Amino acid sequence: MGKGIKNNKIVVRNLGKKYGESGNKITVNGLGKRYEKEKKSLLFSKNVNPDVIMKDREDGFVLKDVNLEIGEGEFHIFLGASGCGKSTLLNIIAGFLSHTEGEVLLDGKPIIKPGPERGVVFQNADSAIFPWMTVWKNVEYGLRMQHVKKQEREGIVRNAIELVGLAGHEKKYPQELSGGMKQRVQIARSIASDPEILIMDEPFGALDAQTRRTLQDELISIWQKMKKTILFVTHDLQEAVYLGQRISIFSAAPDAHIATRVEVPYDYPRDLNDPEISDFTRLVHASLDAAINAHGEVNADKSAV
Amino acid sequence: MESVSQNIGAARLTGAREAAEKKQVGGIVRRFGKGILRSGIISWILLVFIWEIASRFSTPEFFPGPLATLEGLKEIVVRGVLWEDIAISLQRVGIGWVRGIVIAVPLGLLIGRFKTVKWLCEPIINFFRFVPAIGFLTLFLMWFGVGEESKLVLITYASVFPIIINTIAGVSGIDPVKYQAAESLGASPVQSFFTVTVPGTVPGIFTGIRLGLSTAIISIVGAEMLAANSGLGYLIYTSRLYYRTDWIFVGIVTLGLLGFLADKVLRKIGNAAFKHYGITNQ
Repeated sequence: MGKGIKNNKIVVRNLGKKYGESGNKITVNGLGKRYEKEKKSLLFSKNVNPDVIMKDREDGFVLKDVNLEIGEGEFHIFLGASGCGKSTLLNIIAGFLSHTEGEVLLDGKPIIKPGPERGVVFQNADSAIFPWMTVWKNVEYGLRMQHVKKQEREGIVRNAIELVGLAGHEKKYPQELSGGMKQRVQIARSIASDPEILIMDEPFGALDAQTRRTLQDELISIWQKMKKTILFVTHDLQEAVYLGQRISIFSAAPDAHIATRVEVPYDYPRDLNDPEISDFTRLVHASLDAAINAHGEVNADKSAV
Repeated sequence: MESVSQNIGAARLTGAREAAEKKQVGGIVRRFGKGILRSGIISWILLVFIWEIASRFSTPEFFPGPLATLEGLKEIVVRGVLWEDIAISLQRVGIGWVRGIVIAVPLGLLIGRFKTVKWLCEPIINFFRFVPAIGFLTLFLMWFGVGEESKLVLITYASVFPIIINTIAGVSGIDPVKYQAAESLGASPVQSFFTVTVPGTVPGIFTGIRLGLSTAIISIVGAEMLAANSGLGYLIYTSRLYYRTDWIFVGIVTLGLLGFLADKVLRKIGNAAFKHYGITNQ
């Protein structure tokens, strides 16, 4: 993993994404475009992202005029209603989807495809981890794909597994793990590749409240230890305020954009029952409501990030 | 007062315990019964019983019962003919089927994963899979001679289609998120083919090779009836000439048993070897 001196900055300028470019109902839109760019659509039968199946909308934008800047080591939250396009933006940054307008840059270089410098933790661990591999093999996977030497892999994998609290479970298969542990496997698998950014798409959405809180706390401590940029999608207001340094609030799709940006000025760990923080949460709630309802307004770019 | 109520309480407890024990005994009996039913023994007994009753209305030359068939079985076992026939049929099925697997699995994986291969191969497969193997028998005899080779080609042909089709289905059953995960972890297309497509298709492949085995057995019988001088199909076909209807029954029962046992063994092996690949076969 070549690592020079980079500022790990994500720059999004005038980003937009059209619905159903082809206008053909059978071909899945947007996505087909991406594969054309990479000359893959002709080759692969199955790389379809479920997020872009919007066959009823032949025209228009999922995302329009999205401007965003995320600094190095930032814990950044995308907050918005379901279906507002926040996951689409995340998938574009991950490299799974292409965009039609504007540009997405990582350290000044355009993002055109997925790569291990952008680790992805998917929403559903069951679809994302490999059930035929043990915990160890799952975590080691990325390193093997990147041809890291076996002696080097050992230590990296052990550290990653320890970091997410899965030590002692290395030889287990995913079927033997709980939902929370599977999500830990995903996180360990991503950080084993030493990514510059960790992209997380509602990773704790399917977990019970108790497990979710534990994993949130652990994620914060992992983030503080590793100093990685984290991009975290959620529709859970509490989670957003609990985790994020900055919150980008999305307006509703179509033509979704970032309506408001909020800085969360509190130290970790945060107590959501703290009167100050709960006042703040109400404020964010109001912004979220406004963003969802006041659709079509000009991008209210309050803070210059 | 207190002690009385305690006694009543104790009596109640013992009563409850007895009831629970009774229930447990009943439970054991029920579970045993269920176990027998599930093992399929009852169906076998029933089948043999009906077969025997039905045969009583006829003559052994026309419709031999299980007892008469057993007599016939003894005869050909003693002569050593049955073992030879079983061995030669199994050998043909085994070799042809393994060849079928070797051809069909890679092809199915490629068709399932790569659209170009799919567009090239699918029309051809969808045409030929409706032409039964027996339809090619005469052609294969002409092309590959009257020896073993023509039969092996026939078995291979017969077992290829179910394996290909189930392998393709297995590939398309893989969650696309797995490919995304592999790609974002740095896997090249070739790497993701071998580390995601291949292991992810194991359940589909397994269903395919099981079905392939049954079509292999089905078509070997036809081939041996029409173009062989050995094997179970040959046994069934020629027994008619000697009015040995009981031998025909021996042949039929042997075929059924062989298929039944082979499938059972295959399933056991599959479950043991590919426990974590998500094989569900019942």
